[in-house]
Amino acid sequence: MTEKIFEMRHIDKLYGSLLANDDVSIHLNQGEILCLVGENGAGKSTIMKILYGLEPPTDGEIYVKGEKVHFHTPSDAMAKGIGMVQQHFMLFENMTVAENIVFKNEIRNGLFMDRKRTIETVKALSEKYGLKIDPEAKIEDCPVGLRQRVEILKILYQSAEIIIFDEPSAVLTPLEVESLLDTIKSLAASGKSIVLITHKLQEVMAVADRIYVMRAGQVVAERLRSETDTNELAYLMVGHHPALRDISAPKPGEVLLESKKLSLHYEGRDILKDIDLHVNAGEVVGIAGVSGNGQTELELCLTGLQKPTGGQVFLMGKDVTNASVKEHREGGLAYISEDRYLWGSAGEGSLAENVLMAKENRAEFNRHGFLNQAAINNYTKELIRRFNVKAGDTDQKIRELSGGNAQKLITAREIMMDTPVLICCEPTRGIDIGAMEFIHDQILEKREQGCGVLLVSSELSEIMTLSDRIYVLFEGKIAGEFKRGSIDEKELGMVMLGGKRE
Amino acid sequence: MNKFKKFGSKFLEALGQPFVAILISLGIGAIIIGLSGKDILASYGVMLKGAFGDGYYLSATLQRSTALIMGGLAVCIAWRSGYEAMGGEGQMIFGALVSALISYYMPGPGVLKILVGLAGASLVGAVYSVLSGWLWEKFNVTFIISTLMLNYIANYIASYLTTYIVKDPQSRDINSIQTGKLIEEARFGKVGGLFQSEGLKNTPLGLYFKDFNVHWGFFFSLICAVLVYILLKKTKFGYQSKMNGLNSRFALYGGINAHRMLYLVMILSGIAAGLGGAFEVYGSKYRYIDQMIFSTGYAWSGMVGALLANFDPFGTVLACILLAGLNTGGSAMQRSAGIPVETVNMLEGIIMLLMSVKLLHLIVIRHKVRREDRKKTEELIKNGKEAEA
Repeated sequence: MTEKIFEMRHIDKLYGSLLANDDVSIHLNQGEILCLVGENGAGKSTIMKILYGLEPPTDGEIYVKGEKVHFHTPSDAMAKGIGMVQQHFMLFENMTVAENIVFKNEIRNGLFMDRKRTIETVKALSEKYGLKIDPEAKIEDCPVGLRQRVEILKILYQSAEIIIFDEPSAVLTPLEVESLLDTIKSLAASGKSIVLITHKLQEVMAVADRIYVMRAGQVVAERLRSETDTNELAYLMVGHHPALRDISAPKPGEVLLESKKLSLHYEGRDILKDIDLHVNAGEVVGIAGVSGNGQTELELCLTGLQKPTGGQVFLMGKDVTNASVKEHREGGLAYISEDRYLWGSAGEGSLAENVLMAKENRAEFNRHGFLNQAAINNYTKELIRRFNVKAGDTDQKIRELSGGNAQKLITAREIMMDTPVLICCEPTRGIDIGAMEFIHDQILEKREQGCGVLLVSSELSEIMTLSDRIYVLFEGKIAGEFKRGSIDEKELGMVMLGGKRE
Repeated sequence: MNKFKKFGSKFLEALGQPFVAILISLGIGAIIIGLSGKDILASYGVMLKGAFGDGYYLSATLQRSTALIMGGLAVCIAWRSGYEAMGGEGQMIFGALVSALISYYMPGPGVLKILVGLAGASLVGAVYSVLSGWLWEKFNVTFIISTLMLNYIANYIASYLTTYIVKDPQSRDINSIQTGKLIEEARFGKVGGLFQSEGLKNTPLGLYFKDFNVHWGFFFSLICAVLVYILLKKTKFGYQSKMNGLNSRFALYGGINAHRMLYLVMILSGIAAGLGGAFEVYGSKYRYIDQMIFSTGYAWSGMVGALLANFDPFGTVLACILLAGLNTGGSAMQRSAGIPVETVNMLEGIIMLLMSVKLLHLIVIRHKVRREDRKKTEELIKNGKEAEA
């Protein structure tokens, strides 16, 4: 059982001047579940991409079953029995499950594909590993969890021995996660060897045999599951103990933002249906939900970017249902979009230009239509300094900043709008823990100042930590409203999936 | 020092592509001249002299560049805001025709004829430009298609009018398709006699400028470039239009009114092109002659100029003067070196092609971003469907 099925020795990987992997040595034993944990950007995906032939290593050696290998493409890796389930699925939407699974290794009948035998084979495969699917369903009709299952079967069909999962739970609902973890365990039991990349420690403790912790491109620790716990792993990942927040009791004031029977009907479907919500002064209100349940449309409707088809929105007591974005902003709303590149910034624009957005009418920057460039530059510098953004000069392009620093600058811009209401959507998606803590501090600071914050996030822990009140959004409707402390993460997860609270 | 270095590298970055494009095209031109058995250096020498060699040639180049600059500025305004409109030609045609007609038929003093004519050219340019913006907003007709087709429509409408309706009443030649000639007072004056005072007359400067004689239109186009520069680089409008061009969703998110932005940009761009046509009438032709804009390719050369300069107004002026020089110099090369003017047309074609790589790149990137946006929206809706299922 302790045969090393692969081993990577002293791997370095250089992207430009960034050392993504620094002398990484790891191995995987036969039939083992190995977890690679670490923050975003710790280098865990990189090392597995190297193993899977997606990236060449800058230096180092790779052995599979004791034999030295050089992979140039994923097909090379596949030929040696290594398969990878990537975060972004590589499936043909308009083809069936079975067709996707046998793609490139079709079962032929002379020149043509033998559909009957294909379906039988896929069915047998699915039964063998207990991965239930309908071989004849179209991929476009499958939810994310099923698509992932198809990816796994695709790899199994190509008789992979080693299966790498790259953040597989990121796209799944809590229930789907549980079923995935069961799958992983049964795959290992049937003799496959597994590498699981994740930063969710509960998953690690549920399935891992052995764990590597990575930080800043290096392996900083190796642990057996039996000899560690989530506290130690979190400490190893971050390098310090995450700060525990002491949040004062809320002192809610008058209603600042309110929606009444807000609805959005689109192409015969109710995207949003009768949303009643309100945000008071001095509180953080969370919108929880599995993404795709109407959050995006809700934020667009509340900010004036999308006109609702029914109901009303009130901002500071004024009806703004059909008002322009400008009227919303002038009426006291700042808004951090869920997608910092799609909506929240102009990548090719300079830092100063990105900071100026929605402030170009202010007297300090604008005299009779002419912009005061010096004042804008100084203001940008001040924001960069106060919000600790790692950036060069004010005419640097914002796309050159890392995701976390770009998000910090956008957060800075919106916080410094100094508005009574802040709508903040996925403010910490894809950024590291340091920047995340900083942004959380800013949100709580806003609350202390007596502003109302609406926080939309698919990250449950973020919602649980920051919100005084939580609305759960499910299929475009409010499925429940909870005060801080009146519900735990598990129950909230149930409500998010449309279940009732027990 | 650092600032200087930064400015230097920015300068290089801005000039790198145009410089390489011109260099490559001159290189290919040299090969062709060489293959036809002519002396390469001598031919290019003739070309340079024929473009900028003395006051006379310089005047020809600058006069030709006038319409190019105005067309280029129109492109700067529209493209920087994210609207890839190529309707400068049609707007220029109507601008030229309308100004020629107003100043020919309207009674009154010459200055008034010119002023009303310029106003008419601006108006018709703006209206014609807005038409393509409207087609885009209402019916989702891409700018490339609508503006190209509108150019043809403008040209043939102008042809029809000059052939049948507003044909020059004085003309006896059945083949001359043109409007009546403007009276002397309703034309642009000329600037000449620079450095010709007694003291300077015989200095090299005085000798160079001896035959210099350029109509006001060129200087008006320089003033327009300064105005456009200020508008685009120094004002709130310039900032908002640039953001709209870089990421239109970001502009919406910040509260910029997209509808207003579109029409403002189309109006300003149309005015610039319309005036370009009028300048050509008041400065050079003194009437509208059938095909005078279409066959000369003013608008297209202007667009190449704007692309060469990456939509910087001053850069556009420079590039347009260079492109005009290529043309006047080419004619000289044909006259004295016996190299067909087609060679020069080819050079401009090559430059255009090389710059088009960038144009293509620009359009492809924008469309890619739009495609991705669309995909993202579709995904959002689909996710909604899953959640419902």
